[in-house]
Amino acid sequence: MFFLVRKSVLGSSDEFQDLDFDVNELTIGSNESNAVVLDELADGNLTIKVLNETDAKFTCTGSLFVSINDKKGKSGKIRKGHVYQLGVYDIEVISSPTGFDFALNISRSKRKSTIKNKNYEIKTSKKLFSIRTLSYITFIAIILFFLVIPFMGSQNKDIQTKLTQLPIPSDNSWSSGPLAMAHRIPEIGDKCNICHVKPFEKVQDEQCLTCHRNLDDHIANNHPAVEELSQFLCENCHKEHNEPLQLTRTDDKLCVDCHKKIKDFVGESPDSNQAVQNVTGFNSDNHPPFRLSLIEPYVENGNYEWLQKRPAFDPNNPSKENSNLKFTHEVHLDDDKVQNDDTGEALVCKDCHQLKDDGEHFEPITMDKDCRSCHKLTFDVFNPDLELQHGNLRTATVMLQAHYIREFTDPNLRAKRAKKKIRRIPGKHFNEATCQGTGLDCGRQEAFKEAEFQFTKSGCITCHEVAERDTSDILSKWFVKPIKINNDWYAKATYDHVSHLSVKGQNEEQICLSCHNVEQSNHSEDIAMPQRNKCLECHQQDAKNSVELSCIRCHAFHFEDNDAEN
Amino acid sequence: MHQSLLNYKKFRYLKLTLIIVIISLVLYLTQGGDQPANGGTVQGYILGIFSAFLILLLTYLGIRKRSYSSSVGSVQGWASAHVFLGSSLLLIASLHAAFQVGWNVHTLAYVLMLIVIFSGFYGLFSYLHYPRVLSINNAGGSQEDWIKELYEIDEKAKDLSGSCRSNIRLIVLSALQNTQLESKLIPQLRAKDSSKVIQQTDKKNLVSNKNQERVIDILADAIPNSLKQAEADALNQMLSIFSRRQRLLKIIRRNLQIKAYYKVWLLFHIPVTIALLAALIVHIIVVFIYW
Repeated sequence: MFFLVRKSVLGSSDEFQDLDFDVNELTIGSNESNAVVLDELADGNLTIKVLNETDAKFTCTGSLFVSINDKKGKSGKIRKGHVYQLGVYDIEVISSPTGFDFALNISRSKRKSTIKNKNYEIKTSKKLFSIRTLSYITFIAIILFFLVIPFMGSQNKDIQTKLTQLPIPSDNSWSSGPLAMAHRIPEIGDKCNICHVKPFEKVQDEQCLTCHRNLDDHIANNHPAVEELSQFLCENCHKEHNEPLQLTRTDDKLCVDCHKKIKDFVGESPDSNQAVQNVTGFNSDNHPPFRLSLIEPYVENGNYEWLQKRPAFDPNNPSKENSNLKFTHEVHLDDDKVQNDDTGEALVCKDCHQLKDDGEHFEPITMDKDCRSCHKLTFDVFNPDLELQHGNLRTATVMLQAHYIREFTDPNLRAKRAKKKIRRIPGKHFNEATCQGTGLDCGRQEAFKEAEFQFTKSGCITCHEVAERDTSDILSKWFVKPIKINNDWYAKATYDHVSHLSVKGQNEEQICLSCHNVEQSNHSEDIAMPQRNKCLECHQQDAKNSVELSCIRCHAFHFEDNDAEN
Repeated sequence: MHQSLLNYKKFRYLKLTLIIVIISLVLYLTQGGDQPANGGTVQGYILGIFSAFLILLLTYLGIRKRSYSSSVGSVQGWASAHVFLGSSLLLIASLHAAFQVGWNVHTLAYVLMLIVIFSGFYGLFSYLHYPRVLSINNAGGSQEDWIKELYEIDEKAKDLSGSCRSNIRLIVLSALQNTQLESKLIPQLRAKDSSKVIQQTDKKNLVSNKNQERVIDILADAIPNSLKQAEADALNQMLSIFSRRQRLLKIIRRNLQIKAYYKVWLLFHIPVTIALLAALIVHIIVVFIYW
């Protein structure tokens, strides 16, 4: 069977190449093994078997197919006069020249390719790392690992234990800041729910009191606003997880929120002098003058009692102390009159006023500790070593009586006394050396005289207020009024003496006197406590070069007043 | 003065941002009453609420910027607001946190926010810088134009190759067939030309045809050895076609590279933004779980 294949070389009919084949079946394909090689064909080949002069049968293999008028076929018939498409080629069955059984004209198709080359298509496939997928993954991961799992852990101990063993965040990752040092204890550790018991609820006092069982009341029971204040949680003032660590609120707002309009909380006071004043800070405009805490003696049912008072500050009518003590700072600080026993120098403040460990208050002044070295309680010039007992009137009087009765009833003592030559001492009662009468009478008589001298001229009366009754009974004629020296002049405030005892260019004595001006004080009733203005010299709020004070630097939080001590 | 998203409406959003920053600073400085400055004070809460609101607003602006059909404000206005308000968050959120950080979920949200903002700065640079680069690269044309032209000259080269010797035709067809534009991100970023062509001697193995240089060399060498005038003409025409192809492919690949830069940025900026939203939700919830 002879085939003629006419191939157009330039894609037009101008130039062509005639190829002839003597085969039973003509094969066309891109592979070199085919009779007709067309480079641009896809895999497979086309086999043509001649049926007659005008018709032939074709079969396609691989991905090849023959099409005509958009009809595709893998096998079928081709007929003379028709043009068929095979890939990018047109195959036309033409009239067979003499000597040939079948003839084909193969040319590159003139048709514009409707199938575009896909080399230049940018494929956008949905992949794992698309924006949307990544967004979902990160969103879910954060919600899961930082909210859901830690929350499950906070509600279930087993899960929590497992979480601490795995590198997965627990509810510890919710901490907004480090725990205060005092709370970093094994009992708490990393266990948030020791304190945070119920979700979405503030830490309750119950949790604090689990450990702080022996805590003193923060609010005095007699505080006028106790009801309002008791509604506060510990958490309101003690803030955890703060940076920098600050467990207790120390800001003025803590106090000023209520004290700026204190009547709203404590109501109107019946006594305007006793009314609590509004406070909004510390300067002469927004802090009231200091109000002294005084103690006043009063007698109730025959007993001497002391009443604490806080009179309003009145610059025209300064308060007076009423301690029943007679004392003058002026004399005691005059080195011509009084000297230190050991040094012979003038007395200094701390010879009598010794600071307690709290740095605020002073050890109580006592006769034995502070006065007796100068003020000996001798009474009988014939027995200058004997001293009266101090502090108990009856014991002292009985002792006085017993001493003189013994002196005059014992013949040996009486004789010895009569022989003694004693010089008179000015200002001192000169006791009798001898007496005409019984020992008992003489003793009583002398005891009465000495007692009268002690209680009315010099001795007890020097420092004490003494009341006298119209009676001849030595035991009930005189009454020494008890003494109570105020030890807390500002009971509502605290103060640190120690930190104030360092002032450039001043010694301790000068520093004391700069606030407590007692050098000119000639009466024990003088009160030498500094007023507000003295503190404002250094602590004026909003002033330049001032050491500002917050409220609680001077005022403790609603504690009971400090008791005035003896 | 040319109006860009920075100087939009005479720096309207810069002014707004400055006002917000000043208010935030005042709020921050008035802290210190009941506790140290932090997110738990009244001022801290206000700064926190404002920061959260800004984050949500900026996220919405991100969506709005891409929603060209919306009539709420202009795209440029939203973009300008997005940039300035986003930058202000650096300060406002830091003030809310009072510059305190720790190994916790709160700092996680803060760090994610920082990452989003700083990656946003890169985005801003891209939006200001690359359009000009693209414009210079395209020289008045567009990516579609270049690809359309590429298809057309490829067709022409195929036609012309029919007039050449078999081995030249095969080389030309192979060069056309083995030139592709990369769909994957990494090759796009590298603007790598992995074009290949068959060897003259070994038709089965492909060798590099980077920048179409190999096929251009082959065509140039083949011209003097043409058997026919028609073949020489075809080779000459194909030489100029492949030279054009070389230029077109460079332009297209550079365009793809720049678009890939945007894509990588979005691939980072958006998922981290979503992560930030998640961390923000967690931050707000856990603050109140353990109040």
